[in-house]
Amino acid sequence: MTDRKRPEDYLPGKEQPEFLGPEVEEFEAELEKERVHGRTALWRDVWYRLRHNKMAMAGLAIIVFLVLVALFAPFLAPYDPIEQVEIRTPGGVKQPPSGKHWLGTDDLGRDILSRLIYGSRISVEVGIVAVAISLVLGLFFGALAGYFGGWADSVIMRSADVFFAFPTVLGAIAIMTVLGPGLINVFIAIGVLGWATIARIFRGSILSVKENEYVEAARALGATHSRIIWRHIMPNAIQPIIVYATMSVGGAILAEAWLAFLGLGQQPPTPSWGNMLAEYLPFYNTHPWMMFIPGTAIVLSVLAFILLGDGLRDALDPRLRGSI
Amino acid sequence: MLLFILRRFYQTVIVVIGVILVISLLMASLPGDVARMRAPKGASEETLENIRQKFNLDKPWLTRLWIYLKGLPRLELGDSFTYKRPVMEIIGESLPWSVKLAIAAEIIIVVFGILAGVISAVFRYSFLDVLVTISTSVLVAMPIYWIGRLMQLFFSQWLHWFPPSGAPPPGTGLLGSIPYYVMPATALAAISTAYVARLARSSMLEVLRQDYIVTARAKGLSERKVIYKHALKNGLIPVVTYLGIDFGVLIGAAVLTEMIFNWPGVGHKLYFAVIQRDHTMVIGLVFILVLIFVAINLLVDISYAFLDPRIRLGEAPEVT
Amino acid sequence: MKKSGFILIAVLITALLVGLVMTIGGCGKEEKKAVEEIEEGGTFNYCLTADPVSLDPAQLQESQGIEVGKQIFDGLMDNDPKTMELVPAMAESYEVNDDATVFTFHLKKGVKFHNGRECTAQDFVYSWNRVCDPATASEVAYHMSPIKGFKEFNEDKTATSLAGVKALDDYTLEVTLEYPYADFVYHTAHPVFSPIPKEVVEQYGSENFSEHPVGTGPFKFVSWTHEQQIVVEKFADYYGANKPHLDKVVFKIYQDDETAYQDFKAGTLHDAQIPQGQFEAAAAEYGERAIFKPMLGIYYYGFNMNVAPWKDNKALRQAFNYAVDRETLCSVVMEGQRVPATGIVPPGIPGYQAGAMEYTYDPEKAKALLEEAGYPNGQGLPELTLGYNTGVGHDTIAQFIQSNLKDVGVSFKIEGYEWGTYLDLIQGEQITFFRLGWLADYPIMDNFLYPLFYSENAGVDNMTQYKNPEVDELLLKARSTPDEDERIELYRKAEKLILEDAPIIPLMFYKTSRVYSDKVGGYIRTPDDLTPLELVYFKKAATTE
Repeated sequence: MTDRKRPEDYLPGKEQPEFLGPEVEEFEAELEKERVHGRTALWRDVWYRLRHNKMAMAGLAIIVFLVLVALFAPFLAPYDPIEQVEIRTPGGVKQPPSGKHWLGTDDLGRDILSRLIYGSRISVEVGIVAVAISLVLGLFFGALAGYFGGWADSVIMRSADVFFAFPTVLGAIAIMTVLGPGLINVFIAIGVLGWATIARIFRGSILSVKENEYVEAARALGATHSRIIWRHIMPNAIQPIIVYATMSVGGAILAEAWLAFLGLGQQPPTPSWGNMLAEYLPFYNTHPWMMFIPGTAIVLSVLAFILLGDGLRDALDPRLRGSI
Repeated sequence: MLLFILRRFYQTVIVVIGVILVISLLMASLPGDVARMRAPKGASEETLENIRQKFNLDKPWLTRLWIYLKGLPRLELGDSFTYKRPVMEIIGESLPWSVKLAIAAEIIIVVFGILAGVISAVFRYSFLDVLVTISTSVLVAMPIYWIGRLMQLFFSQWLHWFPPSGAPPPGTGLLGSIPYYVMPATALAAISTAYVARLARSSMLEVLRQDYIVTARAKGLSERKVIYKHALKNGLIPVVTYLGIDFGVLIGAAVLTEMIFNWPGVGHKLYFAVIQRDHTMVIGLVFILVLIFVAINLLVDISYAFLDPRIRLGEAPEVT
Repeated sequence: MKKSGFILIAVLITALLVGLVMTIGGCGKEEKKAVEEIEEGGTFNYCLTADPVSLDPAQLQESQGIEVGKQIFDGLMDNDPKTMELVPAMAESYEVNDDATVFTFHLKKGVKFHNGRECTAQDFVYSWNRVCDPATASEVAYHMSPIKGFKEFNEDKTATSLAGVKALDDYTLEVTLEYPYADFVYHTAHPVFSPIPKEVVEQYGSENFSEHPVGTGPFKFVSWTHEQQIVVEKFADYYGANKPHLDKVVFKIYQDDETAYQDFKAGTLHDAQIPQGQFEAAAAEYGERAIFKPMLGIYYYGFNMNVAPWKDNKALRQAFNYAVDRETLCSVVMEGQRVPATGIVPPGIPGYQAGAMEYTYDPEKAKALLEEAGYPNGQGLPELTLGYNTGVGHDTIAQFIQSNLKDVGVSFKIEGYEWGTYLDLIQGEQITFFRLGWLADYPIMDNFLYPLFYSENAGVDNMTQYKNPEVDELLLKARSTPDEDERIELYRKAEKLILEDAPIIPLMFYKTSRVYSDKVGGYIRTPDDLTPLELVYFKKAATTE
């Protein structure tokens, strides 16, 4: 999650995820011989375990549904999401759900279902773009720090410490104040704030992987740094990152919601779940269903990423193997 | 040991300097003319110039930074633009409220988080476990301001159990104050409670797999004794560590909670200082908050090093 | 027959008796209600929607400051809480010379400051001088600008005091103006004109007076815990006819209307602001106690007249005026609790003209004007952005107007800013299409037209940078016309001229949206959105029943 640091980050001594050790040993020979085949085998194994985790699969199903809705929004939405279709109809605004408007209409007579469908696009965009920014920055600096060590490591990790010193809410508010409101700036703020954790996890993974014999062998054979990082270290060190990134997507969706509440997110009239929730919140008393619509959508999608992330962690964690 | 403490201390100083640089950088690049915002409407250029001089806005960025840094060791954080009073004074008024709220939240986290985590670890894969997993996940997935509003709706407006917002008025006794704390503290605690539950669960599971537990069981100790006497003590070490560090976060990250519940703490002040671009106030508040946060981290790390010798021996990569 | 007659009579008598009993019972109840009434004492929890900037009369400007300040400070004159008519407060009476340049106020005797000392004419001289003193850096000194010597003292710094204010004796204050201005007397009802005791200012220092305010009003300042509450208590020696009933008033400070409203519902507050979106529900739930009364204020969208495309394109600005649907905005979006604007000056101000502007909702006419403006169907317009300040529903209104304009082919973005940044960007002419509101300082036409459209106020309150020599001349001439009817005629002319030029889109006139507890009586919300708390009391009935 980007909005709070994961407990794991606080655990002194847990810096190097030990759980990669046996995993690597087990697959080492295989990886050396037939890397592609080995990796496929690993992921086939992970997928097998994931498939038997009901909650993770539920999460995955929600995510697939969310992405499909976002992709095909124009075909699914019954109305234009910003057209105030019912504004001049007597009693047309804040209608309860009906056959004509499945989820009712909002305070400006717009179709809530259509807004919800289009709003999913913003959530998907924020999730993907923000986490992509964190990943690019985090992996780059994490790799630099972990692989080369020395002063590069010190400088990068001290900068990461500075980022850790800011609770994310404070950091995001500060950045958004400088950049101004808007979706692009939400991407940047959330993305930039997320790099430090990824860099730290990745650096830890690299440190634990790089002393392995096959990496040393590759080095002895004269492979370039980037080749070693990409071909030898990455496939193994990436696993905890995948788990973290999955959860971060949920965090980013949530962050968009509270930034919108502060008036800093996606600007109206373009619907996002965050600005819909903020807009419908005042009607909690007279038209309570309104706030539950975007609210539920946010909770479900964030939940989906958490469940999938959990499932992935369990599936990737070999110590749990056999217990499922 | 001394070396470890010294090294951690040195790291902390670097972090604090970095934080000040980052904040000053952010503040210096804010859009708009601060002097004009502070001046009366339609003020002359001369008046604006006076304001700039008074608050050192006319000086280059580095000079301003230097002036500010000089005052820091004596905790001279300057005067707030909006309050026209020393920032330290305002922090003095609001920080106790944030600390009190954080303590209340911490109590909730400890009780419910650990309880839920231990239960779901002991009854792994049972209905209770699934319930805890799902409910903690839902808590994490909910926007905190929505939790706050829903609580106000249910517990205050419908059930009239707690006052909907605000701090206890001056002169309220300890017992009378409790109702004021319940909802904001619960909202603030929600996310951390969920994390603690998960952390406690996984950490307990790990401990329960350890050899000595297996031995204890083999020796025929009752399950209850195994859990309470052996597993819990070791299983909760990471939880306690997390709780320590989280305390700093609870003080500094309560912006939304304090807004929704009109709680007169630091987060509340900080949000309004940011939007009113009260530079000195923002820098001062964040500086103090970060100071608290890193100080707590430092303490937790040092005490952890006392407890677990592996850490201080390790030339291992630094922690936190 | 006989029997049935008897029964008939019996029934009739019974019916009569029952009716009589019911009537008596009813009467009894009503009488009880009339007597119900005033329980002296009690603590009233008042909802304040932000921490006041200051409680120093020299800095009272935003509504929260004035809401509290009005309870602590009294001035020469006051406005009737219902009609807004000018009534004497600390002044016994006043005279004005024929050309409206010299005002002589005769003060009431025995008026006391909260510290017990009698307030005299010298205190007015001192207080007004303090407001205008450049060292005080008052942001509201401009209310005193018609006084002779204001410019020399406040702006040019060539004088060391305000030449136009003199105490002839302890109870006579003479005010000389720079130019004839009959409506000046209305200014003196504004709290910036309130007297304060010199010794208290000197005791705490001028800058700290705000934290220790002392005045002559019905309530005495007790304490101010910033961002939390301000406490005032009944001033026993209050000179006014309406002695306060309440012992204490606690102004509870909130950041958003929603939270405050919830506290009201929970009974923590005795009154509150009704948040936008809950007007209908509040009216249904609280009936009479939800006060939606016309207020002296206008909500408008402004164009920056210095910047393209607004500059020199009257047809374009008029097209926008025809494109907006004020009726639907007020009835649907604002749930019927705003009044469609008919001009700049709202009803309730003497001189209000119902037909000040010709703009009605007419998309066809808007399209025609767009074509005339050189942008047929909105084509060729540069990318436009409408600015608003975030919070309290401005975004909803902006979205509605956006869709109105889209109907005639004009599209623009809308963007929210924080209030401080927002004003700064409008003044810096970076936001050139914006929403603003104006609430009357005093109930006269001048207060709407002069600050907002007089050329020298450009960038101060005249955010549209509107400059029309003809309007300037009319406004100055009106100010110096002693005859009320003539004066109003000039203002009306000016209003029509401005509307024809369309530097703004007048959207709606405000209404109060305040609700108060059923435990209290005497609660009035004035047309300038204040509550005179000396009139408020707790009902006895609530405790006896």
